[in-house]
Amino acid sequence: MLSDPLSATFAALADPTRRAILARLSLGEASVKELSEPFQISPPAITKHLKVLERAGLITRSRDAQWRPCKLEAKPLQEASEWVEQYRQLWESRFDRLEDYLREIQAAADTEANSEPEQPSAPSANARQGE
Amino acid sequence: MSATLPAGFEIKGGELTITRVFNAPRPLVFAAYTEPEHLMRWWGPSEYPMASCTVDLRPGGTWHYCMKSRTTGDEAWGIAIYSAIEAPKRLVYTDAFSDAEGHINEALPTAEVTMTFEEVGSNRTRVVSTTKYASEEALQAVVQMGMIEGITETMGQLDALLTELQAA
Repeated sequence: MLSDPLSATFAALADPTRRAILARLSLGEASVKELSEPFQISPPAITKHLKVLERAGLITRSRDAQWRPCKLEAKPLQEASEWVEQYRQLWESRFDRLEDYLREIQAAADTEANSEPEQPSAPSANARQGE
Repeated sequence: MSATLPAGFEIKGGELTITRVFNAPRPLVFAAYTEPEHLMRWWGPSEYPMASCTVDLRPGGTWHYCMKSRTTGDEAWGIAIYSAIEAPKRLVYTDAFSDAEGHINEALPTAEVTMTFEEVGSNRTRVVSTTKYASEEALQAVVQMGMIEGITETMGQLDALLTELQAA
């Protein structure tokens, strides 16, 4: 279910620059200056993205050092990933059950009609066509 | 960082899509998805089988059902409100949590589900389920699932390392 913290995570992740920032931070802490270099975006624009990421709890910024390094926080990303995985598993198992059920009822129908030696899937109307 | 999504699963434009091809003719698959006698036998998970199911298959009609825990007897009620029906090709409904009387639980999220049933040859059917949550922009985010999985994998390794270090 899409609870509020998850919505914040997904919204923060919607921007490609922010995703790239996270990818960079997965390699280790970095300053605003270091983050702005590979993206060719001004430090103020980076700061704006960092604020969104910080509010979503995806990163934290140290208050100790003057350069305030940014650090990736794993938990919200894990939760987002887990939510999608849960959704996938829900439908996979639902489809598994439907598959089993369809096999079962078709096998039952075949047993009832087993007086016919032909392939059960071959419709007799089609077989007669063109004669 | 190049983790890929499992086959048949897609996240695109804020929608989660899952596809499966069934070895059964389309009318039968559609019936299995819309008739209570069929739904009673497969919709609920094995530990939470269906206990009741009513279907009023028309736009504005509802599919109201109860799944009951085998072990605790707990009941989970769900309701779907059909918005479009094109038997046996397509079905659109709003999926929600409800109570036994069919009142929607507003505290929990609802989703719009579109089911399409396509014929594959004469005897197989491709079913595509598309789920769209209210916060569309939220889900658009997961488009880059590969990247997220890559990060979480790294973080998983970090977690494992931290657990090891703490145990030592």
